[in-house]
Amino acid sequence: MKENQKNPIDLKQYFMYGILMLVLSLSACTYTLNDFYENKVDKNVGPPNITIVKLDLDKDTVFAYSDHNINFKFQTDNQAIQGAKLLVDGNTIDSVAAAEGQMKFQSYNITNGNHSLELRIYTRSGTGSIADKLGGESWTFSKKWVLVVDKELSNNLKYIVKDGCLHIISNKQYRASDFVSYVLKRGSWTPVIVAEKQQQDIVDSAYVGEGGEFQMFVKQTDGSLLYWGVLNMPYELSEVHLGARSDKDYYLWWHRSRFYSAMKGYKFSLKYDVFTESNNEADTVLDLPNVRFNDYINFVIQYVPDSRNPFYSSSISNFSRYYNDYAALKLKTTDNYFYGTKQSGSDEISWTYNDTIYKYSMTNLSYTSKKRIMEGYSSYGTTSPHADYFMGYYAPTSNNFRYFAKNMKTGKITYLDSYASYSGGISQDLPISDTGITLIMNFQYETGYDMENNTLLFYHSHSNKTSTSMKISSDGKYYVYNSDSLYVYTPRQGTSGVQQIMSLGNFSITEFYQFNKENPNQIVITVGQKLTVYQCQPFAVVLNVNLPQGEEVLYIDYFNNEILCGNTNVYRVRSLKTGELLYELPVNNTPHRSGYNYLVNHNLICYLGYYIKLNY
Amino acid sequence: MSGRILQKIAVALILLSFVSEISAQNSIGFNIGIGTYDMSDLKSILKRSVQDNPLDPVLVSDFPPFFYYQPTFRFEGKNWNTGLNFSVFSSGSRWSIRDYTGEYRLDALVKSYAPAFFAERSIYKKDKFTCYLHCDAGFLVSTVDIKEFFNVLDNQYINSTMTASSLNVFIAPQLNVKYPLINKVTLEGFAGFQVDLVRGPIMQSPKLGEYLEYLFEKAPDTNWSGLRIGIGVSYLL
Repeated sequence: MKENQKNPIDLKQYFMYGILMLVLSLSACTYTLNDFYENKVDKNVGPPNITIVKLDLDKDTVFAYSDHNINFKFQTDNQAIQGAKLLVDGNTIDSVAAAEGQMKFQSYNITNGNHSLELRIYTRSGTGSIADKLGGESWTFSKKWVLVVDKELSNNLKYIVKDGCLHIISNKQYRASDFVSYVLKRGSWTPVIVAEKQQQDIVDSAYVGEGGEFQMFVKQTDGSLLYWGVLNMPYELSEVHLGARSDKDYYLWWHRSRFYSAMKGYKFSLKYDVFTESNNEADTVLDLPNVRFNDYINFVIQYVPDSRNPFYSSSISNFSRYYNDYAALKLKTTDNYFYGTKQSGSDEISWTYNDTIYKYSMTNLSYTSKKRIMEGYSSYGTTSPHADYFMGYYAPTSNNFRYFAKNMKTGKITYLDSYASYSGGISQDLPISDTGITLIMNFQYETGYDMENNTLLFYHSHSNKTSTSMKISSDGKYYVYNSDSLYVYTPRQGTSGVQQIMSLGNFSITEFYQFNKENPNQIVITVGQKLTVYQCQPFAVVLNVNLPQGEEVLYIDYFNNEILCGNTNVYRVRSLKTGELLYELPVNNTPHRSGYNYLVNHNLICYLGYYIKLNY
Repeated sequence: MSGRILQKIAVALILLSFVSEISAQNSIGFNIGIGTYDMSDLKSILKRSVQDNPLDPVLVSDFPPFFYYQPTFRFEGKNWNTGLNFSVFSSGSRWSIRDYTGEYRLDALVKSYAPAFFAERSIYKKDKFTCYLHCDAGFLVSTVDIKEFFNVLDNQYINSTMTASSLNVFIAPQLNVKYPLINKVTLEGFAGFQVDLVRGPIMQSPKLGEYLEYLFEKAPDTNWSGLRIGIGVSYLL
């Protein structure tokens, strides 16, 4: 019975265990992937034969002047070409995965000089393997060149002038085999081809010196143009100058163009848009028969080039030179500012510019001295008759002025500090004598100061009759006070007062009155057409001259005793001793005193440094 | 629509289990069979992924029929049997090429665990043979492992694995034949067809809520539908 009961239990247990084992073991037996596809390959394939159908590289040496493209086409008799690679010094610079195409040679990171250039061509291995399909297994063919890199083109062009023609020359020769010619272009915006030659020397036979940019290119066999350098030619058309054979005979002159072979002639204009022509390129002078001293000239000269010059008609201003100035010679000074110009010697003028007093010889046309007044000084002031003293003021603060005088011979500076707080502004001349005596208006008083010794000499009141145009003699002994009348005073010896020497009632401030620089005891005064030379002490009339109707005293050269007068269309020179007419210069305008005319040692000088030597 | 059918089938099976004779005997068993698997989505995905491959890999395994295993627990009644079973399915696909220079392969291994409820009714008896109409209904929890490998000239360029999973609902009607062997041990044979009524999307590291959210979206899935043929043995407890 026990066995009968035990057997089913054992069977059940075995079954249970069996099921459990089966579940555990078979549950682990899930699907697995064991199959593979074995690729069919042929390892015994030989290399193909490569045929170069096209390759833009020279045979042994490759010259590289800039970036360029290398076209290629290769063929094989068997395995397909996978691509090509370009290497410089072993470093890949470009690659193309095709049997035909274009590789870019970029030179920016390759230094000038010799390098090695290698071309590698890759073909399929032909085995059919995975690596073959991916290009990892291939046949490699290689070819090497000597690579000469020459990128320096910045100073490649130069020029010479030969036989009156411009030659643009390339310093270096293009040595690659794709050379066709050198092409010279001109113009920066819309360049025009000047010439195309196989020589490095190209002539521009139509260039006359008008300036411009020249660019040279190398034409290559594929038709492309390789930049080969630039040259900027300066504008060389000669300036136009005025010349004077005499004070009545003027002409304009210029230099002949050194590119004369390209010149056809000139066109001239003295009036706007009215031109005359000259077919002689050798002309360098144009007479001005109708021009007189100080006429304003508007002159244009056009350099007419050979008809092949493409820029003449479109850029005519580049072929033109102008003379827009007065018919007068110019002082040879370094500046054109002549503030307070005055005659300081028989042959000498002086003026103040910035902080310096200049003296200039009219005979030598050169500076005789340059003396600095005060470092950085640029304010108002006047010089004494011989420019030996300077009187001026400056503003140490924003609302007051400080007078000072400088002895230009000794360099001594004296400050007039009793007027240091004056804040009413300066609206008067500051006359000063060569001895350092100055006149200053102080309310209703004119006050005389000895700036050399820093002492008050005199003062005098004119009540409400102020003057802004006082003058003092070169020795400081006399002065003119011009208000309702013209008064001449002299300091009263031993007092602080003055003594009146003369007065001219109803005297117009526009009339001419001056102390004689060389003889300070004399004063020259004009009233109407009458010129009178007075002696101050003892008071006397030295000379009376009745000037012709319309004639005006412009200037007196006290050093040479000559009076410069102006009348309708004429300058006249008279003797200061006799009033006799010494010389006449006809002009096309009427000179006036306001025109700043000077007569210095027979030189007629106008404002701003124009002059002419009078022929007498 | 398929959700409603699923609900009706589930209710019917539960009711059937209760109408089985409570006093009936129980048995355990183990079935082993071979199944075919549709897997059309995965086949399509894998094919697309290699169609531009310059190596031209070849399909050497395409989710072939493979064995599945199924322990069962059965409540045996007079005319109706009900029970639970747990199936393990697996199959796979491989695109492959290799030679002396390297190898490329794209593998997809799918495995599914399928807990199911079943009911069966005898429809024919002769001698010791009994014929049953049998139907399973349950879930398929599937895992998909996709591995890509590429090695050429001793350089390994690709070695990646992606694991995903999906959740399906299936029914599997089949015809069972049983033959008692010896004391309480019965030999079975069966043939049928499995239909994955609901196929959830293949997702990486999903949560159940996401499965349900995308349950009826048109997305790649694992489709285990196919023929089921096998044999089994059961022991009456």
